[in-house]
Amino acid sequence: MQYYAPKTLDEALDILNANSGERNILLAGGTDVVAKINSRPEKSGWYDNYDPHAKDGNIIYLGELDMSYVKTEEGRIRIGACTTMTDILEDKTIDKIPVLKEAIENLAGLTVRNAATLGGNVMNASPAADSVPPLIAMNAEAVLAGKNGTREVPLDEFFTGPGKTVIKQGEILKEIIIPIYKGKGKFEKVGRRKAETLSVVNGAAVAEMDGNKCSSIRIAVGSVAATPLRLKKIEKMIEGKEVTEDIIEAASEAAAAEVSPIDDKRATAAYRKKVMKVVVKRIITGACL
Amino acid sequence: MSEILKFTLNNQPVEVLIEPDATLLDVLRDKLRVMSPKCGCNHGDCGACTVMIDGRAIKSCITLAMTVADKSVLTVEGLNRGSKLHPIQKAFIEMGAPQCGHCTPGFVMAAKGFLDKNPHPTREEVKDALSGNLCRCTGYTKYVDAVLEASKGTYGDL
Repeated sequence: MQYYAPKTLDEALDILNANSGERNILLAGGTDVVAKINSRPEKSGWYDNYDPHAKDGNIIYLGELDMSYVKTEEGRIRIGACTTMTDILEDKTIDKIPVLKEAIENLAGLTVRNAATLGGNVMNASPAADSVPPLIAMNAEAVLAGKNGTREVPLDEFFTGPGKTVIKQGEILKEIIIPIYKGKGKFEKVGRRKAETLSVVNGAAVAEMDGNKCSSIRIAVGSVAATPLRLKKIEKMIEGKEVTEDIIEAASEAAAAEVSPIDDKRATAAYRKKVMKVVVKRIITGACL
Repeated sequence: MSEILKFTLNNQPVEVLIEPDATLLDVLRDKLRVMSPKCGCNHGDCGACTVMIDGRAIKSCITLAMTVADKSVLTVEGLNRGSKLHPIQKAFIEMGAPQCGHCTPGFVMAAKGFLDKNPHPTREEVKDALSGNLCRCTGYTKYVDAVLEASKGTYGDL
């Protein structure tokens, strides 16, 4: 196994391309990657394409690439992929996008957040990733860098399955671009304990109101399908309408039909569907009322 | 392919030859014989391996050792001021926090990392900060009590 610590993004991309036929492990904080390296092989979709005992391959550490920043520009915030969760929380900018702050405060625990990165949470691509529903609800984009330049992919089109994204061979996630939203947002997470727990159901909504009417809303839920999901049909039930308790109730009922949770060691599909209704109700209420 | 890792450990420069997939926990215990961080789960859940890296409490079992190159690592061994115990250690002992002691070094480093940045926490904030540290003896209440008391300066200036 070979270790690289490139100093520039170009260097990192060169290493990736020079070793394109090999197993390349991109490493930022390591809170997911190193745990996998330490583990025994397990038979689950999660570990299928990752054999921790294979001694071949390259570990490419991204921590020296100056991808740790929170920058505010006209109407949007750009967060470098290697920015730790704690660094994001300690930057006052997060108060402009409080729905993400709420999610990160509930992500893992302090000692994990001190190392875990936003890019890592996105690229690990767990359906239960806590930062992703807020990113989708805020219409955030992932910036993928390759030798030929960069491309932006909206987060609601970024995930293709558990642990899988649209990233191509030879690309590295560079940053996340988040438009600063005008209305309100709400994040909700159900886990088996108060902290350091994988979500059983999570979700976020961001809405802009015009008096009692909702002019726009984006709703995303996680841990109830193969990827984090944007609930477009449910958004349409709310947009343009006066937001009443009945509307919210109907929306949360309808949301259950949009998802396909599984039984796993954390919860049953039936429990997830039941609890998801409450999560959807709370995030719509929090974003609209 | 072995790599040379250079970093600062408890204020001393160190240099070791390691495998690229070694964790910081592996290197501290097996190469450098710094035994205070413990291996409880080896995947980042229990916190018995917690150390401080560049001023932040971090789990060493999920830290790839090579990534601490040129960084500063602090363990319980680096806390002793000569033969004096650190106030957090004094608080833990005098308030009866450790039972079997296996989780204790992790709690000490998590507490120090937290109190360095949050010197006047509430009880809820302490509980939240220690949520990455598990204690199978369920000594939690006394750990929280001790961290709170230490934060008040009862056992010395932090």
